[in-house]
Amino acid sequence: MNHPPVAITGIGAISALGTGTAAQLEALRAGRSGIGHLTHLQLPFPELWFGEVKATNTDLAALAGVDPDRSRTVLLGLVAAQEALRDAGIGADTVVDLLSASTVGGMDRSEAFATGWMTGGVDGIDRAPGHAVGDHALQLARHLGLRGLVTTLSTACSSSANALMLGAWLIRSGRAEVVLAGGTDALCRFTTAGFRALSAMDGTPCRPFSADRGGMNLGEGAAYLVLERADRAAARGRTPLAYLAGAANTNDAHHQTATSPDGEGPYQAMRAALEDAGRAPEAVDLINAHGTGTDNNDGTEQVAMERLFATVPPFVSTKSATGHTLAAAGALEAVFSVLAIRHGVVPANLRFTAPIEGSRSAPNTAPREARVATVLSTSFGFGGNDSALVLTATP
Amino acid sequence: MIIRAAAHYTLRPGSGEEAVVPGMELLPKPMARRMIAPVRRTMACALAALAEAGIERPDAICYGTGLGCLADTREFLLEIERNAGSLLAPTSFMRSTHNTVAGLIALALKAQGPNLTFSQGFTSFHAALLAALMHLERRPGDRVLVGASDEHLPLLDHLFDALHGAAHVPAGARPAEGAAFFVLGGADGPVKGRVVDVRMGPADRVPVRDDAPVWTGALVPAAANGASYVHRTGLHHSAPAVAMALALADAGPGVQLMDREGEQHGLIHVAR
Repeated sequence: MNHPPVAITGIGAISALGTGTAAQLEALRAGRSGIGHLTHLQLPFPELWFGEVKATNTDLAALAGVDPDRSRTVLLGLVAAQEALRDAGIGADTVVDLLSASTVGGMDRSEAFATGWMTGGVDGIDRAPGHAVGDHALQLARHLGLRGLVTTLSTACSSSANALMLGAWLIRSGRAEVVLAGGTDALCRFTTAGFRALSAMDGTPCRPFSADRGGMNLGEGAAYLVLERADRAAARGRTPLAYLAGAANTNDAHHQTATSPDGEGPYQAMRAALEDAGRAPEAVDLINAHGTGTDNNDGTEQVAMERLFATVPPFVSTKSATGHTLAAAGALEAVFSVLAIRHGVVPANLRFTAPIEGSRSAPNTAPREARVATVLSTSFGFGGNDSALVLTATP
Repeated sequence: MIIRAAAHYTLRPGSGEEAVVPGMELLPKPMARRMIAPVRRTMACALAALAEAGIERPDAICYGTGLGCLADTREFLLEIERNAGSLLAPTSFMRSTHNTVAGLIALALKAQGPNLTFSQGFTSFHAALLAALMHLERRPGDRVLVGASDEHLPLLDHLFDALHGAAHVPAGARPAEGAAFFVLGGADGPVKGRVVDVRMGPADRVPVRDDAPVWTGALVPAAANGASYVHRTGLHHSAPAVAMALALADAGPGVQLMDREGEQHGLIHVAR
């Protein structure tokens, strides 16, 4: 490791488990699930199970201190990003680069009108500029008063893990001193209909890594982390919450939406992230797995873990509690990893029934206290995109 | 950073011009049949850049797109409207993510290295290029495919007419399709030029130098020592990538490409 360590000095999150990192921690400790039917969003899927954020757009706008007339993706992002900056003690005097991630962007507001625009209609056309996935990041930067680089990663379900990786690269290369990195995605009709069309949705609350798993529950949320050069954090008297010690992105190059049977892409991502962190597999205390609950993902991910680890360390899919928050998932689970390290908590993989046939490992099924110094957190997405992060207690 | 190869095209719908797309002969036929036309053209362009650099498989792929896979997104929105309540065909949804193109390139070439997609309007390509530079600083011997592409739909003409407020778009410029790909890095091979610098941020963090002309994109007023390039690249979010390919083809010591998206400015300094 010949690069400056990247400290995490602030975290912020909102998910089906609640608003703020304290609410996330309380739910992880209690093994509480946020999965249920929709109660706040008006989407035509009464029978499906979701990890919905229990707040209307008006509620979220009030929390964020902005006008509610904007995408829920932006509102969720603002709530989480404000908390992260506050947590890090970063004020307007600091130049902060923003690496954000989203897959749906403003789709929640444009999807009802877009087919009308296709036939020359103008209803709701003022929502068109906010449709582009990158627009959410500009809105975040504007409302947060950020004065640095702004860009958006959009690599499907690994998007915010990649935002964190790029954040580490910016800091290590000396291009940035402070980076706000994370992701945000709101539930919308487009993604719900899409994953349902793929038959990827469980008709009940999801059971990741179970032999009888039936698919995923879609979730929503946002999470952001403040990354900072460790010596800079020390100079201003901040004790890092944890370190982003390593990160890697690979491509499975097997299929547009399915992972190869031997989990080669996920395996290489995990291996390369540990190498980037200068850590041996034996150092890993907890794997925060991608674990969507689909047949293909969990089976291949477990194969990859069993290839890399002689004895697979405790692993969990927190998507059993939050649903799959798409572009937000990598950052949300990085926040969970930081909480695991800070508070010595191993979260639960909820609703586990029985091990996958042929596997020689099983997830951790109840929350417990343990010393956690090194977490490997994985995120995989469409397009064969595989990412892994290594979060640690020490540089 | 050394640029080994460059390939680009622009397609202006309704202009009567024939788009010259490099690399169409390089596309494997079974793959080409499964792709919609703009993705096919983009793939061909990427393969042309790789062929020029003489490599089969890049070590990393960094890609930018302003609006992503528009045609497939449109198709799935229509599918939802047509078949609400019944089982929908998932193909267009699967292909609607912004990283579809970068993923397809990886799939076609078995390229298992980093595969990143950025989307930030007219500065999407800048982020991809910056990521490529950072990757090459970490792994100097690697060869990175970097590029950008954007599709055109008639919908964009409608939105452009209804919302058009971009004061610096040259008269007559209309929404278009385009792509450009480059191969960067590597220890040997042809030399096409080099990337001197890439800067992103608010205007005060993106200094323009006096010693090279400035070519400007759609939302930036033409500079005293330069010109707008939009009439050459077409009006689309990947125009900065196409402009970089054009700058490499022009004689001269170097060009600074200046673009903007909202408050964000992006500057690429490229030299032969």
